Amino acid sequence: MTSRLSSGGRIDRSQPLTFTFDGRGYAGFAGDTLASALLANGVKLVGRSFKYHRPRGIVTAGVEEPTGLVTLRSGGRREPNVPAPMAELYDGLDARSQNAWPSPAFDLLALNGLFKPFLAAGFYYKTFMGPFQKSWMWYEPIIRRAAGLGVAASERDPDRYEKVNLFADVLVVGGGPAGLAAALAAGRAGARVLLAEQMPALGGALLNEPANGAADGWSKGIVSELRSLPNVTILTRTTVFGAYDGGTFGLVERVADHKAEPDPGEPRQRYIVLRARQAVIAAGAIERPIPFGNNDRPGVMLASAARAYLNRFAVLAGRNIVVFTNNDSAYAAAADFKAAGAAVTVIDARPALGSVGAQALNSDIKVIPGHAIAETYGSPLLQGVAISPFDLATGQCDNGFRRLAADLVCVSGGYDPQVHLSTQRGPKAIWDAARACFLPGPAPDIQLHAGAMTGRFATADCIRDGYAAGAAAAHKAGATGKPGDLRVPETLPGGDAVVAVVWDVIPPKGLRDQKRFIDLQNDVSASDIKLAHLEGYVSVEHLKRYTTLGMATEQGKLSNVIALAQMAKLRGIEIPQVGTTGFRAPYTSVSLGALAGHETDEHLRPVRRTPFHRWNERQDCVFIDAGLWKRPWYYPRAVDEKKREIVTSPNRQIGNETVSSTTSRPHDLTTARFEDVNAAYRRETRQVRETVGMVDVSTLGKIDVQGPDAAEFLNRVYVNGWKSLEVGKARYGLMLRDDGFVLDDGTTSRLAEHHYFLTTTTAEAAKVMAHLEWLLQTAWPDLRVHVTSVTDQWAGMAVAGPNAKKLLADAVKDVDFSNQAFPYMGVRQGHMGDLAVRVHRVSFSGELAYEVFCPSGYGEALCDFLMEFGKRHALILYGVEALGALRIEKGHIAGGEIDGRHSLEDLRMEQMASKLKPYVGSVLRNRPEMQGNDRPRLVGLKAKDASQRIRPGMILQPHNGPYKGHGLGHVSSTTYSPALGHSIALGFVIGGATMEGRVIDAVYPLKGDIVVVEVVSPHMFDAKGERLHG
Amino acid sequence: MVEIISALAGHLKPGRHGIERKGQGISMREVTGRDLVQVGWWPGTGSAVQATLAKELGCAIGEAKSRVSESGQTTVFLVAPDKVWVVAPAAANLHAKLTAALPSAQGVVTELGHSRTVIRLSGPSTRDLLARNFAIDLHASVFPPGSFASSSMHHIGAMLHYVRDLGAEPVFDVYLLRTFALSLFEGLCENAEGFGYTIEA
Repeated sequence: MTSRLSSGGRIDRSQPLTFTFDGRGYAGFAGDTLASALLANGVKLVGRSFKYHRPRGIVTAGVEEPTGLVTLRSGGRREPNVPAPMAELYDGLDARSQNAWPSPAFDLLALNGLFKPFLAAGFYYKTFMGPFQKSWMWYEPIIRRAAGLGVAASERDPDRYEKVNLFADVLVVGGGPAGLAAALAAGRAGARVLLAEQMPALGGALLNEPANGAADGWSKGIVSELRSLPNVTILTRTTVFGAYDGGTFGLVERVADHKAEPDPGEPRQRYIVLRARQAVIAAGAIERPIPFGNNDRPGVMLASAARAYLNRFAVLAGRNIVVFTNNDSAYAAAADFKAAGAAVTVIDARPALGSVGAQALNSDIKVIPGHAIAETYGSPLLQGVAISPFDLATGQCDNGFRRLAADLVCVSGGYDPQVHLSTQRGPKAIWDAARACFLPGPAPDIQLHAGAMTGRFATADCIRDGYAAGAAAAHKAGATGKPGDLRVPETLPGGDAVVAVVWDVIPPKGLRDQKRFIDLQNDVSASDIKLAHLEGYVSVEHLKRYTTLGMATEQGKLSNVIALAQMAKLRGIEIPQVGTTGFRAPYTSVSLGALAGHETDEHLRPVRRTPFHRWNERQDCVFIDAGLWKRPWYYPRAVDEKKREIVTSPNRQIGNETVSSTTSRPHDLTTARFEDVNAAYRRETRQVRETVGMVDVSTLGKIDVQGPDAAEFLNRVYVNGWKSLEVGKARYGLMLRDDGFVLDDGTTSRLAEHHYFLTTTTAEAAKVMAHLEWLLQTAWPDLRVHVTSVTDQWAGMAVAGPNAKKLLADAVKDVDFSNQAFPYMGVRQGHMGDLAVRVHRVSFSGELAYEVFCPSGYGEALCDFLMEFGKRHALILYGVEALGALRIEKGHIAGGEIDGRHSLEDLRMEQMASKLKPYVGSVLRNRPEMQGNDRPRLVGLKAKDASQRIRPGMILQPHNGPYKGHGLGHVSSTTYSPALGHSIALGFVIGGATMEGRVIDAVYPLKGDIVVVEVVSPHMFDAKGERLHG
Repeated sequence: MVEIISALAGHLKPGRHGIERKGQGISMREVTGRDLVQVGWWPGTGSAVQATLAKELGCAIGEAKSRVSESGQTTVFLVAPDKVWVVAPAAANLHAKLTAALPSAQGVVTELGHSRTVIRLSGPSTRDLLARNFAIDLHASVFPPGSFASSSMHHIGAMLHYVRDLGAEPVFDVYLLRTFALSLFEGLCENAEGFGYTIEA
């Protein structure tokens, strides 16, 4: 049966639409919401409740909808838990009910309702905790399947989302009468205004008035003027969900949720970060329900919602309507229902009729004062109510009741101002006994509050209030214009803030004590509050968590105040004494897609590429993520290019990477097979030791240190001395944090009298840069030194191996590479062809090695030169896996060892520290705790069984046990050493060097691995360091 | 002569991209052929350094913060209280010229020309695109032509320079760290799709 009227409303009857709900087709019009269209089609049962699976219908016409939650669309576009009143209808909309199987009308889990006496608050916690310690883990998935809301999509969402930064002098939250007036005043004053309204149309509560009436006339005029102001931006379908520090607000604009698919290039939703100088919050108020028996039955609705469906959508949701109220506002709804042709009875909890009530009587509306609805009946839909004389003071129905047939009950228990954006900033809401609602506390930071949010419910008052707030906000924001006066017509809807509070309706004798729901979404009833009180809960915060009140999308919008009032009554105290909960952002649900914006997939985080990246790609490089960097991992070679044979090697795990036995080149889909990482890095490692290899070291942090006091600065930063370093020389340095732990290491070269080139590890580059800047700006502002990150300026390639010198001597003709002219730790400037390069003779691999730097834009040319000259010297490319193997063989420390937890002594580097000068960390590194012999110290580790592999992170324990806690230490870096034919590692062991020669166990409890290892010197290869001198 | 290879090499696809729409949404191109150096000074030597800059570049550092100083094709950005960036055509040989002119007792010069990739954006939707990448108020009353700001784009440091208006359309330069440039440029392009954009050769 259709509930749609043939005229009226704000829908576009010229645009019929079709949609489906639970697979069945229905018709609606442009301008409908899913809720209005369902009601228009006579669909009142739209889902089942959270816990008891009771039938539920549409209760509201806005974001506060507790029960009419649906799942929209399908596949990757599926969106659960959408309030049906907020889902704009479009042609082809596919909606489904939630928490009901097979359908809301016949839901098998409705059997839960039979057990409702046992399913009170805390039932799950009390019942499913035993009989065993981890029983809850077993029950939880089953319980969650039975109780819950919608199910999120697991498929990929095909739509775009985006983030945008906006700025405004004045943000106006809410497009109701107060918000419109505020925006107009601020706009007229010349401020940059952003007006955000969560609904598709402006007008707020005025839209609930009959179309084309006085309210429409006023709002259309205001909106027209606002749209003509170039300094005013209006965003509809936009919710201000959070208020944050410094005038920052979070908004989400539902750009294309009212379409089947976004238009090309259009995002589905837009997350807006708005910075405003001032904000006028005119968020309005939400009508409050009244708890009575079976108040959740489909057909029970807020009076304002039923009026909205009538006047916005031309849907008369019932023909025989009972209005239950404790205030005058519902009489306007009653009058509209009557005018639309319904039979209307008003049950007024107040004992005496006021003037509004008397006026209703004169309009053939039946008014029964001093009564309350004690319960509803009908199954599953509402068929009628039982009313009873009611005592306002006690909330108790007197003896006796009578039944009234009804197909729609409209409830009005007063209004709750939407104080969320205020309380999010800190101020607690304040109880206003006269209006029986919480009002926002003192306006925080840049906020001004206006309209119904402040407890003003008459339209004219809201407009005047909003206009004044808008003008004040514009002035505070620096706007100099005068907004002038605003004429407020007297014909606008009135409103009275006075309500006779009804927090509960206790049924009369003769009626069963039915569930009186407070939180319809989470199935929390008055009996749950009572139980919680009996069990000793007094804090409202604990009450919420114990009963699940105000969870999920409801967030207390309809339930909070009633629950507080009931708890106050149970405790015999006033509402303010119970306290109130603050509201956290978001005000309404925000999709994760909107928050992520376009930062997904390859844009999840920025990718950092070295200047050689493109060149490396051409060399079939396999890259590995190292922080944000893409670093060359290894360079696989075809195993046998001619035969295309597959040569396998055991699957192994390198670091965190599981590597298959063969690797296909990403851009080569032929049958050619290539080395896996293990084969590749072993080959690369061997060949570097035998001939020469080059590796991309551009990721090293590079810092330009310049100034007359640069030497003094470095002397204070590093533990070793720097004042004697000559121009053209490099030195290895270690720096500590203030607390004496090692921060980083690297080489620093003196390029000129007052000019140094400092390198850091890849991982610590940003941290070291920040450390140095902080020292210069706070500790030593007197030092004439500038530090500048030049990591991006310079490309760097390390050339290492016995043939390195010969190769570079061929390539850089204007530098003498003899040991005398260019000794170890020397730095020289030269040219490869016409490319200016800087060559540093430093070695991380332990081989005769150089690092060659050139400006980044010439990086590819540098590679080409080196490759060309390298041909005759058997040059190969190697990646970070081989680099790691080479440095572990040598016992050179890196990220695994410099992890922020080790002292110089732990690293066996204490001899580097100068005793002649202070330096950062020099005091605190001498704490006894840092010096004790019970600290694990750096050692080398060698697997006794060459076939066994040492894993990173293994715990070092005494051989054959006992294994206790953290044991003797841990493994920090591991590799297979081609030179030694063993799995080797660096690690930290209590006793350090004194343990060398001892056998211990390296254990990995997660995998059950135990590897017997010998503790050796960390310098496992070329211990005397002869190779790096050539 | 060795050629400078852009961080965007191979990824600048000239032509129209994104949605088809009337008019031009955004134009993008890489700014090349320019050099960038940083000049820093010490407490008490700022005036002398600025005088040197004025003499060597013909461009004095302006009074207004966050506004560039310009002379011909040379642009000076006061990026910190004691540092400027100087951008000029590569032929100006900035580093050699300024290093020779500035003793380290007065100030120091650091080469940064290869460290940044500069993308020029223009067209009517430029501000809309930038609003999706920078948390900077780009309203003309707050950020007029000649303004610049050090900010971040996708959490990575970047500098934005409002170069001028061309007709009624703004022209902005975005200075990106070279090693992040390709990734951030791809992000810019993705955000620009909804406006329609052209990559100029």
